[in-house]
Amino acid sequence: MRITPFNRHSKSLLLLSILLSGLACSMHTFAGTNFSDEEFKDTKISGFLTAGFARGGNKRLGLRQNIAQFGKYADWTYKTDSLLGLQLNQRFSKKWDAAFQAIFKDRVGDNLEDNIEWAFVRYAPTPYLDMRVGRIGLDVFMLSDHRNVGFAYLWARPPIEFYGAFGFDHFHGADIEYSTPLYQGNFSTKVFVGKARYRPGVPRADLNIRLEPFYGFNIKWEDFNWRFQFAYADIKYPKGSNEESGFNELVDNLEFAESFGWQEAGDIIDTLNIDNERTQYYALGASFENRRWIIQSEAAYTYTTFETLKPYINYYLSAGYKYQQTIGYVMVGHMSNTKDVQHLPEPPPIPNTPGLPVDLLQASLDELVENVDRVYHTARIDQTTYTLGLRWNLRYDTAIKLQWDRSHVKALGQNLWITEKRFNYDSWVNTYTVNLNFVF
Amino acid sequence: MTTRLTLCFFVLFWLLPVAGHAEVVVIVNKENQATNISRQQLVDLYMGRNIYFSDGNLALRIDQTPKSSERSEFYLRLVGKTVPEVNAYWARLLFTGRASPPHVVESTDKILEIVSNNRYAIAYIEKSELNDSVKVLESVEF
Repeated sequence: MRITPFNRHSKSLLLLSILLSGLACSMHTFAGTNFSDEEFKDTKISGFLTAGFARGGNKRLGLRQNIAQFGKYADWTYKTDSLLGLQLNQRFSKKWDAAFQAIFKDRVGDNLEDNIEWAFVRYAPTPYLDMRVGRIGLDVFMLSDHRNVGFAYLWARPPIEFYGAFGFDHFHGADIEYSTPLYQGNFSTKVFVGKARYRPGVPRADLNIRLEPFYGFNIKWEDFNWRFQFAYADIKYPKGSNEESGFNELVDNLEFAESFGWQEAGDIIDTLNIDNERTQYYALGASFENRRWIIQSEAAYTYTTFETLKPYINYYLSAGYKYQQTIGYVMVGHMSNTKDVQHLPEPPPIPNTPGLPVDLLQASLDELVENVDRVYHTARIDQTTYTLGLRWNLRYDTAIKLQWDRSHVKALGQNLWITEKRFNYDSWVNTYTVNLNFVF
Repeated sequence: MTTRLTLCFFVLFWLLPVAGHAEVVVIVNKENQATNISRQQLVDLYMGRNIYFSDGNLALRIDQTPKSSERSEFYLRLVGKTVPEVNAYWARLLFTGRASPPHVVESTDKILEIVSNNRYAIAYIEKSELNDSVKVLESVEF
């Protein structure tokens, strides 16, 4: 399997240079008091930190925050949740500003460039319209592009059934957002287009998944008690994805097996094609918050034309109750495929032909069947998690969170965890999390 | 022992909010044409939904320090949220690149100076600290 060289490296660095040059040229701190009436330049450096310890999974299921981590088996670790984020906001004028954000955390992609979450320039010609170009955060769920900012949301660990399957947080491209006051609240709609990539954590494999193009829209309405959101995203896996996903080797072996009389091998090859296949994502979210309660729920349906990756649904419901500076919460989340994994037909045994190493060929064929079966089950997910947690606002910029998740992971539906090998029985798994969240 | 005491003192000081009750008023530059502001406008400005005055000019929004009683009182009356809750809200907006929170200014004297020097500045201060360099906005619902 091969990793595609990441050729956007230079572009991002160029953008970063432009941002920093702008910063250097216009460093204008707020300490002064003589601002222009018409416009002012402003620089803000801010950040967020999560110091987290977690223990989850067991000897066969490794805990991970999402599928872009390698995970940790049944031991306490700081790596899963701990992160540091640094952000630079630079306003050039009333209509132009830029932002740069880097997040340092555990992930499969380990290039320095992978740590750059955003680098975008924004133009807002009117108070109701803004356009961004560059590396931009995803905006297709309620935590939109702030799921790394623990202080901004209630839980120690966002519901894994909803957020665990997303291996990427940003894309390269552009978006346009229109917002306007509506019924005591604010309505906004956004259209985005670009491309993204991520590297999922798979044992002993280097995979590179490209999503080109990646486009969609969202619609939101919110006031200070309610938030509603609908999002749609369409993803295409471009030509070359077969090779990058490592399926070409399987296809070659299947063609070889076909020549030995496995007639269904051709049909199996068709199911492994990922080039030019598409995935569509639909998500609905709502939340309510007042002085006592925080209630939030999201549901999503993901459809795909890629036969190996079956469609799935996922949802969660969370309710928190505030008491002074603490919030106790409970949550339930679920994710499962809506279609069963396809049945893998048995190949006929290798015919006993004089001069052929039959035993060797049979062993290779058995291994091929096992590999295809593993690919068929790679994306299979079927689990439900029940959560109990507590958030304590220690200070205006600091929160401590404790969370206990109890997950029921169904047989073979284990893809939100890291596994060496799928196993065909159900598991109940506990995850304990202690996080300190800080913003500055 | 001394080190432990120092550490305890530091932690307590770090955690301790400033207690007290404040009566806050909303102020703008004297040249600002506005004479009043609705609660909704104030919410829009201070929660980043619409950071422009009704005449289309970008507002220079000033916040008190996070530990100040003025800030606690202001946000509790404005949106019914505590300072950590407002900060969590801002963390969501700031770290999604959607908006920036108001600028924090360390002292009321400095706030008065900034507002008196900037035509589109808006701030809130303790009523007893008012002087005639700025104009108080009447807020109908606030």
